[in-house]
Amino acid sequence: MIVTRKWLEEFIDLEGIETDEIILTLNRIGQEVEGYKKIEIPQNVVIGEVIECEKHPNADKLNLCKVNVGDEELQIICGAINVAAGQRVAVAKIGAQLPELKIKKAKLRGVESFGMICAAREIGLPDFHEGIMVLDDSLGKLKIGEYVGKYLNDEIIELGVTANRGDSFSIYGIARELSAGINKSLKSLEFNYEEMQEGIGRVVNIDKNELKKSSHLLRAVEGEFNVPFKIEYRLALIEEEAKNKIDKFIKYAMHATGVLLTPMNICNIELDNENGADVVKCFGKYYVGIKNDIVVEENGKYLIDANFINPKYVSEIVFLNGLKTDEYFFRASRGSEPDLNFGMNYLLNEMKLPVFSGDIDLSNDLKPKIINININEVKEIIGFEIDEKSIVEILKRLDFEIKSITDESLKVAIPVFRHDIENIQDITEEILRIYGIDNIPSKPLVFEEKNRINDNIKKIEFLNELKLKAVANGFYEVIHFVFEDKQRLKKYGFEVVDDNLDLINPIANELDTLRSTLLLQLLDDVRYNRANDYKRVYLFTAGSVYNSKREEKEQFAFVLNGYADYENPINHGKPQKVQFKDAVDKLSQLIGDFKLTEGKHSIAHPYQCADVIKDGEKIGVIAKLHPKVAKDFDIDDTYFAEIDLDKLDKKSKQAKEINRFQKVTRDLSLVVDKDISYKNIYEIISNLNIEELKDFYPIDIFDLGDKNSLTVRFKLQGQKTLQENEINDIMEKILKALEEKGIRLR
Amino acid sequence: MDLDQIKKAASLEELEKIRVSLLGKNGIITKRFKELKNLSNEEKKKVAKELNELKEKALELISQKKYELEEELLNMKLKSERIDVTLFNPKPTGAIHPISDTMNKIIDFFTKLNFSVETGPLVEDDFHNFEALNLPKYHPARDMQDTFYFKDGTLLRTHTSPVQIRTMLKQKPPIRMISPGAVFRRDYDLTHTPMFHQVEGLVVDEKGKVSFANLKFILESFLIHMFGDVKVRFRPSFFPFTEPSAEVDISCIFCKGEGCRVCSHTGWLEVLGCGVVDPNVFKAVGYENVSGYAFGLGVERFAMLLNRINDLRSMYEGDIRLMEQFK
Repeated sequence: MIVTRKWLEEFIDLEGIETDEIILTLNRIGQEVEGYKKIEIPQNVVIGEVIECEKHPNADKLNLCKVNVGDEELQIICGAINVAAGQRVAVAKIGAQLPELKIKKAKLRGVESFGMICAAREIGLPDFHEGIMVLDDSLGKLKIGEYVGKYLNDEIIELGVTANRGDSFSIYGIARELSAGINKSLKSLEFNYEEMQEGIGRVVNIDKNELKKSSHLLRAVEGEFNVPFKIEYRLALIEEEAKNKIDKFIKYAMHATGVLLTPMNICNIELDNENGADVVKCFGKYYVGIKNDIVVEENGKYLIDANFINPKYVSEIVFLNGLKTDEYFFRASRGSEPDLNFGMNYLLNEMKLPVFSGDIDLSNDLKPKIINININEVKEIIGFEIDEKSIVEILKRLDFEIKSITDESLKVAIPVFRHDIENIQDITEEILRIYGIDNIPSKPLVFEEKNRINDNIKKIEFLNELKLKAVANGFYEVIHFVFEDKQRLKKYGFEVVDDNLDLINPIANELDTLRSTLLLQLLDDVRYNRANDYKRVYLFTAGSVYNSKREEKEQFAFVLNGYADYENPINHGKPQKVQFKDAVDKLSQLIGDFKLTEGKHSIAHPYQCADVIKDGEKIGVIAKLHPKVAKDFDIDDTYFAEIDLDKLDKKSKQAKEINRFQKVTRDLSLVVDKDISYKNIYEIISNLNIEELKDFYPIDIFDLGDKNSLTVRFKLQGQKTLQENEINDIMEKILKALEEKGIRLR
Repeated sequence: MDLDQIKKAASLEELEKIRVSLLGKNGIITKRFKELKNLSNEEKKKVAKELNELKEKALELISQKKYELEEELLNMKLKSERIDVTLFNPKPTGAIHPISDTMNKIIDFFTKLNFSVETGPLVEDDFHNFEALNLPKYHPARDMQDTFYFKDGTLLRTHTSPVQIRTMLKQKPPIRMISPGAVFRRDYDLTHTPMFHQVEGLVVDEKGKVSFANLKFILESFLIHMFGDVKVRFRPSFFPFTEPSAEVDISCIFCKGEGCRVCSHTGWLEVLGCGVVDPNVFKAVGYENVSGYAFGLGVERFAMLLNRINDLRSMYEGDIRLMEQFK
């Protein structure tokens, strides 16, 4: 909502009040000021009168004008097509500094020019007309030679009117707010227009009258429109575009008064009902306060309908019937100004056309809502006592009518233009905003102590711990939208949300579904950062993913790509590339102990992919990216892991008594078939359930041609110091079990 | 007897030779001790005393020299091990995302003041996201939030407020909660991303207990905790689920309220929305005789202000060039 200071001044006297104070007041009372701009015409631009205007002797497209600027007559060459003798115009005299040029004496095709007749754009105004700007007395009686800024300077205030305040979508509405804010009453306006002898009944017939929910006030006018400069100028300042002359007047009066105004050509009007809504029909075209289909021809006779529809009702009708809407609906649904006479008179006063006498008044009376206010409840809501006298004064400033007063309560009639006020909390807000939130002291709340540490905060803390570990391990956290490209998910074999559960209105094709994995977005990031010359890309993310039934779960994922270390003198600038083991080490730094078994994943290297097992349960996957997928993403060797956050163990650990007897180490080198994984050997040995075998793990592997040599290290410890023969017995037992499966000592 | 030769020894080996020549089996001093037996008792006593003194002196000089020579040797060894430590300036990597970091700071403040943390699903229904929050189907304020819908009539939550409703339906007052999380609006340009994060707060207690003045207190404390020495201003505003409602501004942290590009020359930065809970919201969850306040904030907005990030969208691009600044 744009207002200008001078336009506001039509409704309220602002003399002696700085615009800064107006802005502060508006902010303070809840009319947020989102922008401010000063319109200031450059100095030395004055009102001039074109006395003579003829063709330039040496140029067809130029005019040679004599312009009276009060104290002298200037010879000015002007190229505008619309310049003519008798016009009053803005003249930039020699020395004037315009936004884009400084005016100097000039010679054009051999003839001297002593100034410039200006277009709006040339003196820093919006570009709203062809040729030069032709002024009139609509912004004050023009005096030749006077500084143009005296008429045109203004200040623009842009307001973010909230959706509940339909009453503030007009200059008048804002003036009314300001009047409450600075406690100064509005001006009483006088409207003048010529009424003809001929009555409205001569030109308008009403065929049917089925009005139920709307009010209408109809008047008719006759004549040719002449749009004054003021209207053209102000419509440009508020950035409104109009279709034709009548539309200019209508838009101007609606912006000024907030009353819905609909122009029509003279016709037989049919007032009907459609979809449960009132409809006004003229030549078969209709309008309901929701959408206006009526096209007005400028034929000299017009009918104007000032109207009002209950905003709740109009919103409901539109919703229930799925109707298309336009700007009329915007005003109607937020609550337009119900004072139809005011809007109509303002418009007629500006049109200056003869008006048919009488009107057609089809009003359904709006009755003000009555609300009882308990003074103590107001105090409780605000947390501070504002005395009843101040409350009454504030409500009166806001045009609320006090019906009755007792010590504890007030009975208040709500002004009909305030559609948003429904209960005591609404009224408390009114009291609070005018009294000033700044004047309310802050107060700590007294509350009941209670253990509010729940599982949610524990989960957040657990995740944060995980994130901090990842950061300490050199990972950057990244965050992505939960959206993915459904085609891409399908292409790489991921689960997708069922079509009948998917998004109706995605924001882009590549964000058309919910993600089922965090990995593809991480791979996008690998590519992006590698392209930015990062040679070591370690990234992690945590967030929601969805299965085909659109069930939500939280996952954690990371990727490793490029170097395992940074380039430095020790590695001669050639660090090793990350390997499978690096990925496993990083994961164990984050989530502690786990076991790997051979696994499968749709984007993994088929022979470098493992399921991550914790406490016997699969909690995720760790793998090398399939080279074909890596090629699609234009990246080299990449390792990834994706883990279910909910399956991570958050239980506290249970300690066992420390065994203080000596530990013994023994190694066995075995000859193993190449298709036997270490997991087989692990299981054979584990199944022996040897109490003294505390730990065993592979320490070396190398190729023997058709077989592999695998060295396993064993850690033995008993409930006493183990003797050599006891150790040998254990190792024999292990070897025997392995030999039964065809694995022998090298 | 010349003990000066000890001081002149150039190495530990040479020193050992000298020690042997003086105090070894056939050393000069050892020999002289052996010759003592040829002397008279009186002379023996005198010479023995002299010899003992000489021996002690020699031992002391040798020990001192040995220490010096060892020290010298160690120093040489250490010197040979010199490295240019300035070659090894670290190159740390890894950082928490500014959105997570900011979210954590916010959660931290409120949990320390005994707020619980509540969560809810991202895929919501119309009742929790709109209807129960005093946003009936045909309410014009729904235009404020362009919504993602699913084919089964559900939607992506447009704010964290539905968690208020879920919590009130599940628990009994008194309630003191915050709800952090992702929210979604169908908007994608310089200053909007289709997903962003909010933290919601709600306090409910008996009627008459929770007031606007209490809301003012907690938010002033919170904003000063987050932004340091700032002025806090409340502007009346409108939200369907609170009444009275206010928007909260802090004095611009970049220009200290003087007016700059970031605050559009107003000197103020809008950071929060809040208000006293609308009675229609309580009605929707079946609460009677209660009072409450609620507030909501955008985490990205806080993160951008706290970390001086200019481009909202850059936070979702996984760009190490941004992230490495938070190491």
